Amino acid sequence: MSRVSEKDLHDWLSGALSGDQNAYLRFLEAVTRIARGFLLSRGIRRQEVEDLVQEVLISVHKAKDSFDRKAPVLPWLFAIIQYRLADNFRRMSRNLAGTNYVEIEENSYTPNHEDRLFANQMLENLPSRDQKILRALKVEGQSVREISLDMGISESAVKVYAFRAIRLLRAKIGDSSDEN
Amino acid sequence: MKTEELVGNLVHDLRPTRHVTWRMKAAFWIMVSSLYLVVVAYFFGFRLDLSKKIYEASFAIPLLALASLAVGSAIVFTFLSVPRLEITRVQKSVPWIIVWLWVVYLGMSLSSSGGLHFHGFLHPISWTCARDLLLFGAVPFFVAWALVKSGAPTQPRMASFHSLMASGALGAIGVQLICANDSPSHLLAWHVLPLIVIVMLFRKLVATTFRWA
Repeated sequence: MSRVSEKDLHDWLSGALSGDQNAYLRFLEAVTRIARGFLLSRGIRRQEVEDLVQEVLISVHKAKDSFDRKAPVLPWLFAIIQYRLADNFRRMSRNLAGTNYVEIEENSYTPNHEDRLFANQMLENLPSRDQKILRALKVEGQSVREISLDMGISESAVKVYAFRAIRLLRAKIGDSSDEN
Repeated sequence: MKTEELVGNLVHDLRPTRHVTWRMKAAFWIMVSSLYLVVVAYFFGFRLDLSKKIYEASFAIPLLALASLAVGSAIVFTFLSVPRLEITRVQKSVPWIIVWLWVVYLGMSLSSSGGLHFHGFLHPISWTCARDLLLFGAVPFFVAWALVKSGAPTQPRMASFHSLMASGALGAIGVQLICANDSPSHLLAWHVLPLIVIVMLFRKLVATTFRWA
């Protein structure tokens, strides 16, 4: 799926509110990707993201009647996503006592700016198809199925390309560290 | 359940809907609540000197302040029944306008009477004003609650505060129309204080009912 604009979202949601199921499917697929990307960018752990995305989808479905067709979609949508995120933090805060944060801190890894630059640099060395697959899979958090639909190739082909790209990257990183 | 399956189910569940704007909700609330106010006040009996009092600034201005408070809060709670990120000028300014209207209202009432008179505070008959305020405010509150609940409030506390405030202000107007005691001490203790107490006591509880499942 290519980049989604405010106009696309508005058209799809307006169509959905008139009962167009196809438009609604496109809208919800776009919401899935936006919510997933947003939540990942907020540092939510990957295993929690999918649950939250589903909560967002259900909330959007319940709240869709409140959408004003004359208003933009994104502020409405992000208000719902942020509400769900805040709700998630509220739930988490109730379970603070039982969490071992020292252990989490020791086991977690958050890439810094230099790491990101390095990863980008390494990705740019790959062929464009492999680059696209790896970015979609590892950076944007898309599923294999979404990538296969987006690129028009089979799911197993996506997995194979991703595997080869990672192997190639490992080799390149090995080379570059040898140079250093 | 996988996300793709959920999307499929939600799409299958789609029904065409008719959108009700927050302006329509606000207008509906003001209309229904005003009608209820008049009917209940008629049932209790308007104060006998109302036709004269309505032209006195010391009576009319606080009444207008309460009406503005009710309408202002109604605008805010219906506005907040729609998810939104942007804080508009309306959202920013209305709570302050409300606060200032209260300050003006109390200041005017007290200055015109030369200060507080505590002897009238606990007069047994005064309790009926607090009871009437609850009665006048009950139906407007349930209508407000239903309007917010039928939307999707992402700021439940603020929506709760303003739905209680709007209904309470309307209740205070109702009491003002039937109560013949104009002593500022009485107004403060039995017309204003119950409203503040109700808002403070119930705002958290109401907010929890506005949370999404």
